Amino acid sequence: MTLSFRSRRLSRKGARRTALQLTAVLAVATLSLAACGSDSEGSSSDGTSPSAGAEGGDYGDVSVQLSWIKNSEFAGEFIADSKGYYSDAGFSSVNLLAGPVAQEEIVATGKAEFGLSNAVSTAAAVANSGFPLKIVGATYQKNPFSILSLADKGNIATPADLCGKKIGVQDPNLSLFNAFLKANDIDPGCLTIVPNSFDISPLEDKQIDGLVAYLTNESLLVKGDGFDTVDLPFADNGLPFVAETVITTDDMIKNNPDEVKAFLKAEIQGWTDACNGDTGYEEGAKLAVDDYGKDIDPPLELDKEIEQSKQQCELLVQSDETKANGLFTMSPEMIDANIASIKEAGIDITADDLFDSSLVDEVYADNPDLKG
Amino acid sequence: MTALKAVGRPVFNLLFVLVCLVIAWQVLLNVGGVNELVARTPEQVLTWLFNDDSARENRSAVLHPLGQTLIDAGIGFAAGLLAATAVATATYLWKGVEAATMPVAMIVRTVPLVALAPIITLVVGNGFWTVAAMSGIVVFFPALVTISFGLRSVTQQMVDVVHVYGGSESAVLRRVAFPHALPSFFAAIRISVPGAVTGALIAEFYTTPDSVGKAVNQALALYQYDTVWALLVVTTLASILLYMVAQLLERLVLTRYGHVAG
Repeated sequence: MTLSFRSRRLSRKGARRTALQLTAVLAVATLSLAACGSDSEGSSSDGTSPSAGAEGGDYGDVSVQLSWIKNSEFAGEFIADSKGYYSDAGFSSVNLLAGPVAQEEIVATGKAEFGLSNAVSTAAAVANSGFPLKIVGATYQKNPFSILSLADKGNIATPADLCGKKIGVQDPNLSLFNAFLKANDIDPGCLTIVPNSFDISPLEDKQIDGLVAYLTNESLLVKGDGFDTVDLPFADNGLPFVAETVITTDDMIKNNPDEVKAFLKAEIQGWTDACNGDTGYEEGAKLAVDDYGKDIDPPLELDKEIEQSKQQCELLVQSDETKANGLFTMSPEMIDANIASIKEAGIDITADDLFDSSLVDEVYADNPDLKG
Repeated sequence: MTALKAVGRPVFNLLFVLVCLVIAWQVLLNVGGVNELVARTPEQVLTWLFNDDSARENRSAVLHPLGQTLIDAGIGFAAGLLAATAVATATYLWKGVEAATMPVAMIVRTVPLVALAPIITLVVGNGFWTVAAMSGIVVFFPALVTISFGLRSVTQQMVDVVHVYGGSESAVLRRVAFPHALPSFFAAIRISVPGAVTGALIAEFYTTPDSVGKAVNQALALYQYDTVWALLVVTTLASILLYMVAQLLERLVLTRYGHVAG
């Protein structure tokens, strides 16, 4: 749901002998870091995909790292998997890995072939640590980040309303939040930032005035609890960038472009069904509640998941551009707007270093009927 | 000469520890097979800190949060140690205090701090007192046990001597119990130094200023692995150095009081 969220705890105990103790402390710290670098539960950790001879369209197993828990946010993926779009495209199985984790790290280190992330996060990985990744398609044409508030408490409807308020911000989203303030010329000193997790209770208990949230998730959860909510979407207030973006490695694009295209095709088919009116919303939400996300605790609620499916399709997945060019496409104008947003977040990167829209364009050239 | 010896030993220890750390770090990277996109070698961290085009900014990106964390650790260290000394003294003077405080101390100690944290922030907010409480809790319990042990190890004969010369209970405390408990007190300080840093790091997940606990989280979100590793290194180094300083102080003071420094 965010750039990426992990929390880490160091623990130390006192011991008598200096040298031994401190060596052990470092060993533990280093081990825990090493472990963080290699903890993927999924299969296919060998990282190589058996797709050298791609003509037959047999790409074997792939893993996809999702950006959040398996709720309707991935309705299209669930449908593509259950309706066999992935297998039709040549994948023998698709392993959907639940988030939130550092998706860029999982994909770049070969633990998953594809990942879903957002443009700012991937730009950070590419620009700051030289990760060899590209965005090859965008599920959400707009990012769903917003400041969520209660109508009878914070009532934050415009950026100017932020002043004098207490806003809950998750540490991983802090730089994004600062970029949002900068894009709207808000002095960070005029408001109070309170560290918060993704827990909505401080907002409902009125300890804070606003919370950095997802339009399609926390906002609906709070509304579902009977509150009158106000959203201030980042995308409509100076920070437009794409999210639920499909990322893969440069190596994959260069050596297995057909596999990437096959994956994108199945994704487009899945999301076309997921956004196919009420039947589509319900289908995706039911798959999330009864099947893919049935182990989630607290359990997903069908009504909220249907509402989420609907909202994300109407507000985020579909746009005037996707009506003209097709789902997942990224127009040059949109890419430019993204690069400008990313710059606002303090990351300098060129469009060519982050986006590769050629493959999704080829998918539509090869399959004109996909546009539907 | 004894003073020189007292200084020389910790310095030797420090070098030994540093060499061990660097070797362990390198070996773990090689054996663990950590992906090089994520891992950094000691050499890379040094280069990033001192020999990079933006080395100056890099250093301030790491040292600024470290400064805040050391302040936080200092707050926790002082709060925890003061509370421990006060409670240990009270326990020594009035036996009932032990029965009253120990259950609370045990609860605070056995419930993981991360689980207590939301309650603490709810009660005292997201500022100074959160740091004092959370970092202080990590310091408090081991310090209390150690200091209490030192105070209780005073023999009855020593107490009798003070009483025979007409000394009051407070004189016993001042002239016999405290000096006698000095080795335990310094042991408590040594244990508390790394504890205070750990406590501060945990507390910083819940406070606002720019600190190591915050900076690590933010750097991870932005894939600034250089920053993450450098933060880890400077925090560990600062911890070791402070430990050494505590050890050095211990040696100097105990030598002065005629204890055998351990």
